[in-house]
Amino acid sequence: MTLPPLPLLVPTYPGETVDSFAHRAAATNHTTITDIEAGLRHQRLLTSRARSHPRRATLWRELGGLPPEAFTTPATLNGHPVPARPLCRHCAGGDTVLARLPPVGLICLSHQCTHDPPHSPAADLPGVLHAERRFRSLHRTRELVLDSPAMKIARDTALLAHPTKAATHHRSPPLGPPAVMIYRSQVAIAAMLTDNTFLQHVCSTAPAPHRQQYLATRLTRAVGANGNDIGKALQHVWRIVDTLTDYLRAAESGHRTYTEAFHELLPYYADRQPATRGAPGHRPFRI
Amino acid sequence: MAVPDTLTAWRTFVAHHPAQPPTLTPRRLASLSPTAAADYHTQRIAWLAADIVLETPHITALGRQMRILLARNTSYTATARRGLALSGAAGLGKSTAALLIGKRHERRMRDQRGHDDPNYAPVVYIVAPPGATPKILMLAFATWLGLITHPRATAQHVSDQVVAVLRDLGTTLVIVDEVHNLRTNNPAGAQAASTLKVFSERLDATFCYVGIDLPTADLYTGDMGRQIKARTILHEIGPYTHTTADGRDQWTALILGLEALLPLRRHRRGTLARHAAYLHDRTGGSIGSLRALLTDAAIAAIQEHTERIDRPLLQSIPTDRAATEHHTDLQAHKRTRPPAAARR
Repeated sequence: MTLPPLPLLVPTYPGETVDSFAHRAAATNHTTITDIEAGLRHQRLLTSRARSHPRRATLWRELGGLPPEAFTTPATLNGHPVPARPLCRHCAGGDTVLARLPPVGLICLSHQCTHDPPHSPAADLPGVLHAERRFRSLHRTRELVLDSPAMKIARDTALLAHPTKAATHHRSPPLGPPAVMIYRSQVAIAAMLTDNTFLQHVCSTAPAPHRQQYLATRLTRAVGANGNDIGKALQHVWRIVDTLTDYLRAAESGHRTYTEAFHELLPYYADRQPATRGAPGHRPFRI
Repeated sequence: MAVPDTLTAWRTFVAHHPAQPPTLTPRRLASLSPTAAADYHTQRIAWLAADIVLETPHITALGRQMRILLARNTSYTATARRGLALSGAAGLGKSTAALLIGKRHERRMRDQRGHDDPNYAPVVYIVAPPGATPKILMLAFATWLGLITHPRATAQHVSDQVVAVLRDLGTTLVIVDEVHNLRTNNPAGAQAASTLKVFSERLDATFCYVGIDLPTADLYTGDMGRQIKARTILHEIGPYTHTTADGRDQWTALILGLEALLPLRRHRRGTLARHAAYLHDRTGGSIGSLRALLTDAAIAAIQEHTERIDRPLLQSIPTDRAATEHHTDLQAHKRTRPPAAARR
């Protein structure tokens, strides 16, 4: 049995979660998710209270008159979580919409502002817009997502490389303007960390000073040579690549298991291309 | 097509335009393959069974009255709007007329506002459930709209939600069919009628009540009935008569109108006019019974390849029970009536 759609329909957005859509659809129809799902359970159409139950998504698709593709954005990509984030309010027509957008970084290129509240404008920050385009390119080629370990390491490194912005960062919400200010460096560092050539150099058997010198050159290029003190940032990345090198050496003699998040960089070291790249179902996001 | 019992079904009903199949010449029909010929017969039968409504004097008068009411009710008023009540015996086309009024109103409003807005529903059509309590009545509206309510929601809660949704949908005409099901001689029924009255006062919409013999129905009795009567214009639909010249003309016009819709190859238009008195005897002047009789006869003519309706064929087609009872009573009356000479 297919449920008739609710009388007042709301549009859905790419990557929108079931909860986000259900909340908006229920509110538009002057009711609540709780009431609707209680009614569905009463009619034996919904048998589980689990929010992740596939039947729940099916029923909300029917209630919203949505196509079968709705609510099918995966919650993980290559094992990395893709958390639901607020959509740019212009894209969402003023609504509060939570969506999983794997190919999208911090910035909405259509409206040139951050997706996350407070939707800070980025139109006057060409470097940030460029960083967003670069991030999307990295997603296409290396399946990088905003919450992947490479991006987290890059964020921490960028904060160390920009201490002034870091100080502001600790006083502000994580995705407020400071996150935007370090975004350019963050994406550049992530690009560096996931570059096979870079990893082959820094994890090679060459003497440590040579490898450190190479790292310093690449890091300086990534964060910009505008007098930033990259000492702490350099130490942070060196610690990671050095441990990674130790791991690789040990792996040559026997089996080792992943123990640190930064071991997620290993696929890039091995120049392994993500198996799902270009697979059907990768819909272009125009956000 | 079944009664449009949901908003989706209603929209399908409004969008449905039955197409009359062409009347093929015998040579053209003979040239069709067996499959194509069977398809053609199926199309003709579907056309006969489709919701085609003739512009009868009742429909014309009703449409005019409804247009006047709707125009008046568009203006701002803080008091209850006036409604229309459509009353008559069963089988006289009340529901058909109400559905047509709703369909025309929806098309007119959509022509003004655009046809693509999914969040616009100018017309709501519900059937009052038998033994309705306030909650059951409000749930009928909610179910028709496709709303899912909490199983423990109160009538007031459901009513609030339905009113809010109907306001957002821009509803301007609410048709409540089978309103005689609201029995005000018991507390639950009286409360349901009261709920309907309050509900109608909260909406900026014109209400059209449709039911059997409303002046004598429970809904029109007592204090509540007086209030409803004071706010509704009663339109009575009766059977066609065959005792006056005007009545005979209207009845014959109706027969000719229905005959024009018959997609039969060998049937000459106008031949049924001479059977007008007979058809009135058979159907009691009920448009529903007449339509059913002619449709069944036409389907038999298609299936049996006679392609025409004549008196023997009509004689062989049974009518509904009400029409049969009328016909039997009439024959008995004729048998027991003394000859004219004796009466003199």
